[in-house]
Amino acid sequence: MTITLPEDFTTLCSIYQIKPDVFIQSFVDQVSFPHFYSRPHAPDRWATFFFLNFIDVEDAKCEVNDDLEDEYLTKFTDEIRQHFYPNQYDEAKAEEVGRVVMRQWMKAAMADRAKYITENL
Amino acid sequence: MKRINYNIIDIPLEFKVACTVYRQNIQEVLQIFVDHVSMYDSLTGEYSKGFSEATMSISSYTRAKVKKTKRSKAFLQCRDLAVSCINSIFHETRKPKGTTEAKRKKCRYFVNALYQIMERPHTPSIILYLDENSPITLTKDFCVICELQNCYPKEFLEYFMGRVSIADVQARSGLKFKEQNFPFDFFLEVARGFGRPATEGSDLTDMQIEFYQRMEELSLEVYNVRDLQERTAILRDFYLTYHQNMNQS
Repeated sequence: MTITLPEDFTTLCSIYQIKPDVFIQSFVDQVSFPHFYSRPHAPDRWATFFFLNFIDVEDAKCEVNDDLEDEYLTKFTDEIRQHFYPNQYDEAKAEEVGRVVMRQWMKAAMADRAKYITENL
Repeated sequence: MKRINYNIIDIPLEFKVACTVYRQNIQEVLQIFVDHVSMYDSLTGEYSKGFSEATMSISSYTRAKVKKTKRSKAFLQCRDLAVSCINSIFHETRKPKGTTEAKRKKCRYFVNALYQIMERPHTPSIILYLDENSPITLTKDFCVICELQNCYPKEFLEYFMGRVSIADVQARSGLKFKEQNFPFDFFLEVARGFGRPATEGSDLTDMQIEFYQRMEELSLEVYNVRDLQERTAILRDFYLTYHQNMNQS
């Protein structure tokens, strides 16, 4: 994977003495549905907002199976919500539970894609 | 059965909320809407900003309402003359030469003629009231279209307002249930300054700034809610709370 670092970005990194790879690593570390949705007002929510905006506006750069998306996001939301209601809201547990669903979704998406390819052989 | 007063317009709550969020005056928005509904634009194929959205809002309503075409009551006694005027307008829209402005201006002559010859069972008065102090003045174009469609101005205006709900539009677009919504498109244009001379914006309070930031976030944040009704409810609640806070003082 290659990334080109544009001038405006490298200028800021130089001025603020930030290593570009450290910055980019911080960013990707914070892109997470389980983490975001288990604590929607946390200060590290911006990277996930970036992701949400990206899938909203960059239609051409991504593609998802809509039915699976609806199914798993709904399941994801329901599972996390279950940890809102007992008296002690446990963020870590909610995140863990959310991550399990995300893994299930990924598995289902891969299987769906494989099926599509083999069907066309 | 309660008799409907066709001269008084009911403003839906969601529309009031939208006007609060976008800092618009209800009376002004409605007047600009009325001013841009036009016979010329109902017959032309070309696009004119504002005029097209307003006029197509009306046709969205009439297409949904009118199952069987009924003869216009207002033009029963002068049908041939009316047809001739309308043909002249249509002819004008088809002219390849001339600016849209000039053509629209020329059509005023025919609209005036239609207005003179028609009966006005649905538009006896050109003034409508939102409340005692807020009048809306109907244009001749607007009245002619009302009479051609056998509709009351109240119907058109309430339909227009009924389609302007930020929560509904955002919930749908996020779930990719796109549907045509000319009234909302028109409303956004007015909110961006269409229909009046540019004025300097007023300063925002801290609460307003916080609200607008949260507004952007929330529309993204609800991505995980896949049920349309639930999503709409969350957004509606958010905007309604802001509207109530803004109107407390």
